[in-house]
Amino acid sequence: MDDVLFPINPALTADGAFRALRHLPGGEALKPCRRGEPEAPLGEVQFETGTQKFDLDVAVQLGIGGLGTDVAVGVQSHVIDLARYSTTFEPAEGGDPDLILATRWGAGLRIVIKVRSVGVKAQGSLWGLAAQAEQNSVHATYTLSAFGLSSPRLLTKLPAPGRFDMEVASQLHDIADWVGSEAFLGEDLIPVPFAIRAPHWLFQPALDGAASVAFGMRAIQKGRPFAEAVQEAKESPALNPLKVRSVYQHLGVQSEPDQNARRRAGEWLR
Amino acid sequence: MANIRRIQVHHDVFEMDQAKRLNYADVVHGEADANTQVVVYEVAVETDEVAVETDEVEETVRRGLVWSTGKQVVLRLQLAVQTVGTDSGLDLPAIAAQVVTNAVYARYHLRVIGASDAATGLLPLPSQQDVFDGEAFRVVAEAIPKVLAQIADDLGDGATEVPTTSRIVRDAFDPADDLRQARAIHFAMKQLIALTSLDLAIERAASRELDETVVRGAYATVWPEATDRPAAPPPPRAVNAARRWMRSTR
Repeated sequence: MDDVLFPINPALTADGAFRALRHLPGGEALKPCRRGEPEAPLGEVQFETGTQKFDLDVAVQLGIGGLGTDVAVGVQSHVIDLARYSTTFEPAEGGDPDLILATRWGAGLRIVIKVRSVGVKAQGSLWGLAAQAEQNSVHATYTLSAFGLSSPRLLTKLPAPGRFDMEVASQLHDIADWVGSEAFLGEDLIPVPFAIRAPHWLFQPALDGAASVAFGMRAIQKGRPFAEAVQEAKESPALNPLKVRSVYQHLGVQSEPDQNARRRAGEWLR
Repeated sequence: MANIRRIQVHHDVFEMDQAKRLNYADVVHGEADANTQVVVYEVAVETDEVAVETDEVEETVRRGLVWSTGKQVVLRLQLAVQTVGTDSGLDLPAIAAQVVTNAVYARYHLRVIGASDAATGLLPLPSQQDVFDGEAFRVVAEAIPKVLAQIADDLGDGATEVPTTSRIVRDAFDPADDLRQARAIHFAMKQLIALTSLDLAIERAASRELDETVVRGAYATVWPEATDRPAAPPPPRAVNAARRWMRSTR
């Protein structure tokens, strides 16, 4: 699989790296691409009518998972973005150009619908999910975030508390219409980095990520040097080299695993 | 006009242990039990660049959470619902109706933090907020849009001096959890290859202090019917999927 566009939490550290990615090895270099000099103008309004779907644990890694994720098994996050943006490709100073390949800077709305479905396939659109929630075939909750928009009028258009259903979907759609027709016309948009293009393996579902961790543990158990294991992971389409690196770091292995690390890895694999 | 950095709305229902972890349990007064759930509807407006997201790890209860600290106005409806073993869901009129018939017990808080006196004055007094019955639902449903409109006006005028406050914005990704989760998944895959039923795998996971929720999830991923047949051995397609997974780790 090629690179993937991932929605991401726009919050940055003081050093300009994505705050949500700070947990990754080398996280301080995971910075959005530069906006450019002069700054690239924002494009026309783009409304993704379908949703991007991620396992909830991937959404948590990207900082858009929301709250209460400790019972996340079988839960997916459906993400719908409406934004005016420009896409930039020039790496930030000190940024990692192999991992952050492009960045969408913009202002807009993000709707994240957290869906737990039992025995049915969740639909891939706002309306489809709302219909399924109304029929109780999925359990759905939502988060709405506005970023880079400075108008407080959005507050007067929010759905009231209640279940996620067709009426709420309709209100969310109306908000999107309003943002598209009015809020975006203002001059006071403050673009933020809200999506990145990155290698597909950087954010994996739990099962795939666990395979990379187990690979790392097995490599340590066998006494394989750090560089050799990471290189093999880089060459494998299914493995995440950063997770392998994390495992070596976790067991304190800098180059070749010592007996203690090999024993601990063996215990982990038992 | 205030310089708004971000507006966030979230609406969810939490089990009691989650509600405690997320600091939403203050609406529960003594009556909490395993069937109590907390419904939360929260609207937050962060009003300038002072707001920063920070990890707070000094208190166990806050571990793994990300907080936003800065100038922000927050409206928060919390509803503690004591159910009879079913998910309370987010259907507020239905909850209120069930309270009237004594099918469930529910009480509520509706608060604003950092708003003007004009906005705060539109809420029922805290002392008047108690049982979430039909009348309370009507009051809440009418108050929320009025309060939000007042907050919008205040921020539009720049009339409100927004104080600095903190709120939880999301769960953090914890690399240590990543390793614990991976270990439980690895264990589940080995059990599937050994033709172990879900029930027995859960029992063995508990004796090794592995997260049984993750083991269940791993079984369900390769064998969606596992929970319907917890005592049965996994079918060949599930075993083959587990073998493929295991090969990818070598």
